[in-house]
Amino acid sequence: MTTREYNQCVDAYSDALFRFILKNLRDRDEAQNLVQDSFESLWLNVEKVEYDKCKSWLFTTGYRKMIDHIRKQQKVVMMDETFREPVKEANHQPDLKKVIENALARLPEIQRTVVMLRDYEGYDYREIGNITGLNEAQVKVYIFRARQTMKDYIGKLEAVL
Amino acid sequence: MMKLDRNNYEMIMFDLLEGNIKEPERSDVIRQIEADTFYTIEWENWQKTILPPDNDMVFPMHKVLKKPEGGMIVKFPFLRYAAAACIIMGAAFAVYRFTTGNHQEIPVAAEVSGNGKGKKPVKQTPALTADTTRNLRNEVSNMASETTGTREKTPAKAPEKRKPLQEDRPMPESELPVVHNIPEAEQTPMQEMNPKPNLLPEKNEPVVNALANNDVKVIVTQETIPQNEQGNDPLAVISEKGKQLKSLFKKPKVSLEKSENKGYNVVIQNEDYKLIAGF
Repeated sequence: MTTREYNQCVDAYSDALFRFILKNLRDRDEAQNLVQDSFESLWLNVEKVEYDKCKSWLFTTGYRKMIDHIRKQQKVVMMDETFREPVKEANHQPDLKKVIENALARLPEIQRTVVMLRDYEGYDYREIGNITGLNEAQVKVYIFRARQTMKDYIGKLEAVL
Repeated sequence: MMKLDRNNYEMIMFDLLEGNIKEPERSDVIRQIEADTFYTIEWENWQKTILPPDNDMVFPMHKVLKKPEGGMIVKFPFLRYAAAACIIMGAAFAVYRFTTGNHQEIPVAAEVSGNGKGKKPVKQTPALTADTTRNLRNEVSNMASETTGTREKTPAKAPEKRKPLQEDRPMPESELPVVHNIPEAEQTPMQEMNPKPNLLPEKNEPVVNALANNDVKVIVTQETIPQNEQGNDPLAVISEKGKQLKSLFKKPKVSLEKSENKGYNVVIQNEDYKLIAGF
């Protein structure tokens, strides 16, 4: 990959990688640091990584750095704990986007990751498996459980309102 | 043909949402969903689980990540190893200098004078500086006050500006370093202050000298210049004594013998003269 192609990768994927990490960590500064670290790693391996695989390489590296960071900071939000909290929203009709974000934030980290890779980045099961180290069946199961949880959360919220 | 029921509708709706069901099964499943209110509400909720595109989040540091184009990528992966090696070598050198820095090297003279073949090198004491002289003086004075019971209080801080050594108090004679060689010209006043018996030999007699002193060894070579037949020429007399001393070192025999005061005398002797140096 040339310097020009590397810069094209920066333009094309830095926002997506930043969004992916930020939605998982919910810490803007840490997300910026991890994106920088990921692109620094890409630059160090710029001769080994092909241009058409740079997106997958970036998300794999970013995901691993994010997992390392989560394990260090022990910021994993357990699903059981989140669902013990009562669902309290504002009296007015909540924005669907916010509801979905809240539902997404309550998912376990691996389910949130695979759903975001699926919906935001459009990866198929095999590519998601390559990034997260899972096989296709596991990816499909995690996505199913994530959507089922989100659907139940949205349904309960609508029932309350 | 898929048939929706309460046990499998979630898996079928998930596959439908994920695009895993192709036509014509897709149309058939959608028709079954629309035919039942419960399935319709469930399907609407399933469709809401798809994350909407979120383009609000923009990474603010694009320029930081970009690299200048047009140049050639030159990678030196070995640089990190070279840098690590330099750091280790520098640390080792610093440790070596630190551990060996306390030893003061004593300069050794290769030869004393002239042709040094066959001569052993002579160790020279380090040159005296104002600091070393001052330290030596303080140590001696402290030792002296300890023996007398009045310990001199050492100043906590050195004065800001030291005066030259010549302006300090005169150094006691006992603290003066031993002077091994004194030029002949400087011996005259000392001789006058401490008159010694004239032991210089008469003509054709051995040169017997000797001045035993614990601090300074002086060979007495001066005497009162006598009146002679050459018209009282002092240079001629000095020249004569010089010849005597010069001839003393022709084929000399050097020996060591005990003196009367339990010391030792160095005896330099040849056929004509004999010189005894006591210490």
